[in-house]
Amino acid sequence: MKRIIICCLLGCALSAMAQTSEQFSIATLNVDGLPKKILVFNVNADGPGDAGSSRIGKYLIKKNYDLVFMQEDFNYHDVMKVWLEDDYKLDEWTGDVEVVDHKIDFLHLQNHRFECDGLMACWKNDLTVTTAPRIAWKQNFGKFSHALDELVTKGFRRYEVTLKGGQRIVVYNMHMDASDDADVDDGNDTKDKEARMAQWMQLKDDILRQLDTRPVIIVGDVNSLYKRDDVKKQFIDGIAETGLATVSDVFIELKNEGKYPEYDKDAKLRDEHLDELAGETLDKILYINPITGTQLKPLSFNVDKEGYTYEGKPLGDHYPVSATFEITDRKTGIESTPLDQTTASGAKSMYDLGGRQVSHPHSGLYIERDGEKTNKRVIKN
Amino acid sequence: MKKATIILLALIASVLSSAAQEATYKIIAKADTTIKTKTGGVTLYSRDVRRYVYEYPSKDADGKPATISGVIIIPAEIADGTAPCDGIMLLNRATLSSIDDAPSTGNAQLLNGLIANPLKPNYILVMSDFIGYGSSKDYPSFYHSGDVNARNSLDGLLAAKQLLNDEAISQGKYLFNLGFSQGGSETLYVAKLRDMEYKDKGITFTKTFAGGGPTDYVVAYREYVERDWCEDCKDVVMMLISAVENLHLKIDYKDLFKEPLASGAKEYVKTKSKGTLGDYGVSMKDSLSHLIQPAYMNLESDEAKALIEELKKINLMNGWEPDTTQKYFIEHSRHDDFVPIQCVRAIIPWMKEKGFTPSLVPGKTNLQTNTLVFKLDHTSSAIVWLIQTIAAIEIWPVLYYEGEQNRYYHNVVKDLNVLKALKTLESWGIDLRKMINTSSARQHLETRAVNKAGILATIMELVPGIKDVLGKVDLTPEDAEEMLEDAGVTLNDVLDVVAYILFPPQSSAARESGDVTTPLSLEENVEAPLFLMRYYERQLANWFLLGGFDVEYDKWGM
Repeated sequence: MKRIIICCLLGCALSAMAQTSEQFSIATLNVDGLPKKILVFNVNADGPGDAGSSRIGKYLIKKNYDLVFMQEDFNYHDVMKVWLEDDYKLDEWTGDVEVVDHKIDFLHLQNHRFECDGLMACWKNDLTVTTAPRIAWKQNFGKFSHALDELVTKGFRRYEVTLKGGQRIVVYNMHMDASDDADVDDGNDTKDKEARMAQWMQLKDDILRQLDTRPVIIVGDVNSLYKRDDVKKQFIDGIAETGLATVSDVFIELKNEGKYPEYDKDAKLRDEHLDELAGETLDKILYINPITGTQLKPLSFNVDKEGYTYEGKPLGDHYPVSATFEITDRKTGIESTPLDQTTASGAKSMYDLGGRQVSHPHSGLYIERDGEKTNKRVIKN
Repeated sequence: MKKATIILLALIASVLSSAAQEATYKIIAKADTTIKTKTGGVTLYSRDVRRYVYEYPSKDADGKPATISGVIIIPAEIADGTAPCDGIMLLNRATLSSIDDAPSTGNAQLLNGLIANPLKPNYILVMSDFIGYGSSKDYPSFYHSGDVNARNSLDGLLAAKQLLNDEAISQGKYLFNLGFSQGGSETLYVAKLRDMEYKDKGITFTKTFAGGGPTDYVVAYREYVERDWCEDCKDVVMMLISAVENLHLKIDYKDLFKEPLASGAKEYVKTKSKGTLGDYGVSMKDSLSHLIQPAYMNLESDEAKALIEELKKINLMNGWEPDTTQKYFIEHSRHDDFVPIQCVRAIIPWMKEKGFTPSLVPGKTNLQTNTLVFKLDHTSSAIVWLIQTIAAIEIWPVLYYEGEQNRYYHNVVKDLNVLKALKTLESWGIDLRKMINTSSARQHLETRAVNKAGILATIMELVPGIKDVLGKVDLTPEDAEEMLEDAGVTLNDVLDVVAYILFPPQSSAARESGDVTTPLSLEENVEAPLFLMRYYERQLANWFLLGGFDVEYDKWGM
């Protein structure tokens, strides 16, 4: 507990050194990069292919988002990245699903799984990003049916981002299990929904395990709709109930008057029913503000239909979803003093975080005591 | 300790102890070795395996406890944990020529082909020796006399599952029940016993594959007698001796068999060797009336009628309420020279009555039949059965997921019928309408009253030259009608085809010009699973061909 408090204090202190407020943009899109055909299987006959993926790259460079997170970046990565690599730093690519490049045991296809997860990210050159190892979902459903989720290694990836002005955020990018429309129609997607919910729970555990003072943004193709997946209660309320943070969906907050569609376990919702859901999409942007820490405030939300079409059709499966945020320091009660003015703070006594009294503090966070009154103070170089 | 706690602990111990007794076993031998698939002395394939020979408790023909032996063959990759296990194949062995050929002795070389073949199935093979062989060699052989071997097989399976658990070897998800010839018949008895008794012990088969079996003893006996000839008279004699011995029939061998067989029957009971029967004058191909007394060659005699009544009591269909959620594949060659086709022609209608729907198409219904195999003898059709069974089991984990049929595959098979198959042929450039004289056939149809009962044969007559075509492969239109009927091809299917051929929806000019909109609605991706299965079959067929065994792929039906 003591360590958590110290971390929180340190986080606040570091935040205090950054700009107190800055804005940034973020987008998520499923680039639909499965090949048109795997062996004899037509897995993505209407996918963008080389030409369409190149158009997606061109689109992204025009949009100039600060952070872009992608899913299904498989076979057309190279043609897309040529558009991006001058202005952006790119995450490592996990590979394609080409049969010729992989050693595949055709006699036991049931055991084959492509190791790639299709997750990709790119960020403006003036941002600093560190990545955590990719984590596969513990539970999936569907190998050669049920949306083929187990053909690749779907999962999530955590990014720790320092923005231009020095503010820090955490972003999770992910691709969750899908429901096949035909299974939805037949009421046969229960296990798909179970897998998805298990993935939300796995995500929740990972976020809470590492939650500090930095706000967290969740982006990706989550294949979830509030009416058919109980994300509100299990994930959003679940995190809020810990008392550590609040969670909000940007679309719901800005476009749906803050009202989440009511969960209906019997709902049969196909992708084409999305219009009936007042614009809710399978791709989502959620944000988590820790109770103690810097705060995100969404300024805009957009499902980007303009510019993402070619000959009247979307370039990929889904239209990109984007948002802009403002990040601001929470009032922490921490005061800041340059090192050469420490005596000017007028403190009667000063203690380090280990509780030891110090007479000549160096740079860092200290507790000042003046009689019964205490104060946190950051001493800067 | 309180009294109640002591009683509770005693109860738990008692329950655990009875559970342990349910399926005990004893390992006789355990070896990491190499099995070989051999036919005609030629090794076709070999595979490293772990092999267990084990004993387990079961019952004899009188229902008394008996210790039976069996064998478990585990691909080395599964045994050492480097490959996942897909499941278990419970193989019910075929007729043995000698007591030395029991599966546990390692002599079942062709049946090794279920594991040792180019598809490298990741399945575990479990085989019982059946009573009278291996550890139970002092008992009489039980040959087509009811469900004793089936019980041995199922008890062996339960013991094998426990052994695999204890040895920490994965068993996979799927459990197949299979066998050909005697094994084909035993396989269906295993299915029956499972439905009636072992279902409650947790046994559920993924699918049962039965081929070439004398599935109806009464029909088999009648057929043998009426034909008065058999390709393998020894099997018929073995069946009769087994019935006398195991059913305790009050029939003197001198009344049943002619000399010298009558005197040698008891000797055979001891040796269980076909060689012994040979010593007493039974040859492979012979007239049965040379061996069997006239009273038993006359189906109207009291003796024959009494025997038939006994056979009826133990007949497969007697006392079986089949579980229609279980899936079956039944295969039999029209020209099987050992086991009459009439046996399977008896069971298919019975299964239809019980709620099964025959279909040629694998996975379409709960009863897949291949009765379109023709001009192949018993042995050759065994190869067909073996290949089709291996291919189907190999592809199973692709076609099924968590107990559910793959949706893409389901979309292929749910509506697949003869007309669609015909249209598929058309898309490949084979246009049946161009191959027959449609105008004369149409005229013939319009001027002739066709009754429903004979419509298939009548339709066949309509098509000029079809008798000649069928004749070349030793089939009559009536044969073809029966084969189609057993394969689940309905009258409606045939009428659809006739209407399509004779009264096509598109103009002849369009057809002649080749400007025919293809009626093929199957997309490539939904054909893929079928393609993969056929690919596996072809690979196996080529494998046999390389081994010098021409499996005549064009005669396989589906």
